[in-house]
Amino acid sequence: MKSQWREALDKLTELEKDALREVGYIGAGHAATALSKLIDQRIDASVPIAASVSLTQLPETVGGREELVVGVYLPLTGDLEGSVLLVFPKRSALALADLLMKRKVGTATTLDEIDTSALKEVGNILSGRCLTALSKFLGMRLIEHVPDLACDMVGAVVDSIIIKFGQRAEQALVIVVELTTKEKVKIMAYFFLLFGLEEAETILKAIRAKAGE
Amino acid sequence: MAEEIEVNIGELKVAKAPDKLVALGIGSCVAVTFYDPGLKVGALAHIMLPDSTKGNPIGSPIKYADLAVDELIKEMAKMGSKKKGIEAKIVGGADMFPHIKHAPLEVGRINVEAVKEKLKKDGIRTVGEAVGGNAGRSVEFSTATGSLTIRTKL
Repeated sequence: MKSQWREALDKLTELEKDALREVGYIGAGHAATALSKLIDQRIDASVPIAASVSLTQLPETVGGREELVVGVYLPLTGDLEGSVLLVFPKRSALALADLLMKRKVGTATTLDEIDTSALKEVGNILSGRCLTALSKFLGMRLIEHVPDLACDMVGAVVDSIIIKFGQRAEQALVIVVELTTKEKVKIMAYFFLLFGLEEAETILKAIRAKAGE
Repeated sequence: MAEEIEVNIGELKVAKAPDKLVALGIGSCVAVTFYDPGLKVGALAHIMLPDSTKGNPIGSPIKYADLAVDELIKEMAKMGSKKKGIEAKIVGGADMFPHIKHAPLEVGRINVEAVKEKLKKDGIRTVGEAVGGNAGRSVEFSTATGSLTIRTKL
């Protein structure tokens, strides 16, 4: 069976793709501002990737199924039901933990309980900022639920989330945000937005409407 | 020289000794292996969902426990293997986010139960399992010996 989501995304015009990227930029900008307040230094944000990927290919986006990552999962309800999965590759997660705990970057080699709790909180804040941008863009109310965090192979972290949508969808939106501190420490954050087909169609409509403005 | 064949989500592959079948980074998914020790042939299915009859199934049939087990039996038969000679093993079904309060995922447990039930119904003997918990697993299945090697990263 064909994936309508993919077809719909393939049909996006350049203008519409720009509109989607714009959501990414706005979200990334807000996330960077929030993070820079938390760690008390300037952060630049860029969005190297804003695209749709097939659910089974999600782990490859991050570097292969066995790549070690920290994943923060937030269930989403409100006008749309969906999930946000924020994935930090191991190196980015360690650097981010160092920044949050005011240590020299490169200190952490493993994450302790305080680190993971800080990362969960930061994941919550960053996703929250991104979602606020998305919900304004869509003109919809989105409610975030209490997140949970997993440190493991990305394949394993991702599969329980995609299973939730596997019966109803084949594609996810991915927005990759690159955050750079003034000391050139780079943190990669992968936002995976997962919705069912109907929800995805609603989002596409909003993107089209935006592109038409 | 033994070849390593990777099996992704929603895929099923068969192999003969001395080749190995591998499934990487399994969380709530389930890898089901079938082995015929007499013929030294095996198959691995990387399953994602418990039941194809609920909702409106899309994508590969191997995603679903029920259809994947049917397919495993068929593929083994093609290799000359009879049902009663098959030894099945089950790996995966972890709960990666156990603290989620809103709509708990629980799919891992449900997947494992669905696989076990289906195997029992079809009269396939299950000889081993490494299921549940909160850690991801990678599995390597040697068709030379029938043994599974499981790695975790915690």
